[in-house]
Amino acid sequence: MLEIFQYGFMQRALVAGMMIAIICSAVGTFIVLKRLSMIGDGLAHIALGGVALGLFLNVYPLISALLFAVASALGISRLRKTEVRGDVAIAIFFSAGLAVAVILLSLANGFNVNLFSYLFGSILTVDETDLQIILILGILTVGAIILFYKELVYLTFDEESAMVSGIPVEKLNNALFVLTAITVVISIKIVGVLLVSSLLVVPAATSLLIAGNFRETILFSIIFAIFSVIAGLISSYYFNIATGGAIVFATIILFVMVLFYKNSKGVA
Amino acid sequence: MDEKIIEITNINFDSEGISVLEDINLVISRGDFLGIIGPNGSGKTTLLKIMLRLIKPKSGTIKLFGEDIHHFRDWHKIGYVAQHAINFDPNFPLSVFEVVSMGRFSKKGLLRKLDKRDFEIIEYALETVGMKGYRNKRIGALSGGEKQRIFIARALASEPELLILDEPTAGVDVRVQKEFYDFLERLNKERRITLVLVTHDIGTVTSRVGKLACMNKKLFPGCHPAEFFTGIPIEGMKTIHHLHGD
Repeated sequence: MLEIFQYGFMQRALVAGMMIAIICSAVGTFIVLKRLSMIGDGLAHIALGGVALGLFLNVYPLISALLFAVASALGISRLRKTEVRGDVAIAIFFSAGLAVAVILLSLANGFNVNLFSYLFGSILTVDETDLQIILILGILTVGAIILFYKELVYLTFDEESAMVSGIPVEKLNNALFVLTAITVVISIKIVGVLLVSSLLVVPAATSLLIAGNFRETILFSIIFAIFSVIAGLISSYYFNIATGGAIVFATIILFVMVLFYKNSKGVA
Repeated sequence: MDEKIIEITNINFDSEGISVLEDINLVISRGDFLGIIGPNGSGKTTLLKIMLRLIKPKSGTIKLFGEDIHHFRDWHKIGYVAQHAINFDPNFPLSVFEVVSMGRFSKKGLLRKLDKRDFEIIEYALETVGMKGYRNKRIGALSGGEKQRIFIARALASEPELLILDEPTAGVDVRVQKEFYDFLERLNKERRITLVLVTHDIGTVTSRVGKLACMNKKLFPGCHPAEFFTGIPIEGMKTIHHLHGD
């Protein structure tokens, strides 16, 4: 139907984009309901430190970003159990990641085009290796959420009761943080560091306006995210604008439309 | 002899150097309906949380169903309704059915989906609390009393042998409270569920539970209402009684 999807890079971007839409919205639903909306942003900036290190050392940037983000996710999870509050824990790791990124980038003689695509997302840069990594990690993430769905729902709603009923709350919280880190890192190529947390938060927030139960929330959220990714990819191609911006702008338009729809129906 | 469901021995607990619980000893036997009463800040909730290993005591031992709490695994035998259970985010997207089904999770174990039998037990729990027609409603849309019943249904869905309720009548009006105690009495007598109920409101509870313990840092098992109406063992009780009337 659309000639743009005849191009190999567009096909890769589309497949990667759909996978990202699914995991961002599924993981995002739990994150938003746990009131941890800022963790995506924190992990993305930590991942940027990893990307910078990868570019600096000339290793594959998504791998170094993944190591940085997963280690930090576990660190944040641990730190928020001490006297440090959750949001402060995120801010500390966020700062560390960004500081490392800035130092390495200045050592590597500043910004270049490659970095620009990591910051803002690009459909042009998803190569075969990226696509494979996005698909493998994406499928693992979806699988983990399906396997532990009922326990994740329980601990998101009521951590204390989940703990009393014998659910391994601490381990599952750590797992959720690691899944968030993976989701953020593999989304960076398409959405960019600066906007990846929006794709975690906005579709879930939109879905929460109208969903009546948890399954619906995840389902609607995935639909909104997929629609936004496709709309964003197409407009990114035709108007030659950064993909991340186009996708997230689409999620915002959807949010506003759903909000108006809800208010016009007078639903409380 | 009666089977001991909970055995608490010499429990002490401090919070930031201030003593919260002092030398608590308590035995709860199968079939008991125990009310623990005491003013706010008397350590009731802390004691419950220690019994549920949500908090570690400074010293002392706890046995649940004859087993040391550290080795106890059958958590599905215990149903728990927390003090502020109904004060959750009202926009949280869960249906009544989804909330009650959580009661099945621990019995089911990780990686296993609920099956037809689980669904029947969930329906039965909803029926028991008189909320059968509400299964697809959003939990946040219910009234305080209705939410409370849903959380009790969730606790019942694990088919517990022991049900622990922390301030279950807070925010529930007096007329509903009477029905509520009738309901608890039936659970206790007909289904032989051991009940532990904690409250600062000594109005109705004293006449409805089988056994009473009074609490103010220390626990006074078997205390008689008349004793603290005259103000002997526990300061603060009287004021609370007046505040709530009966």
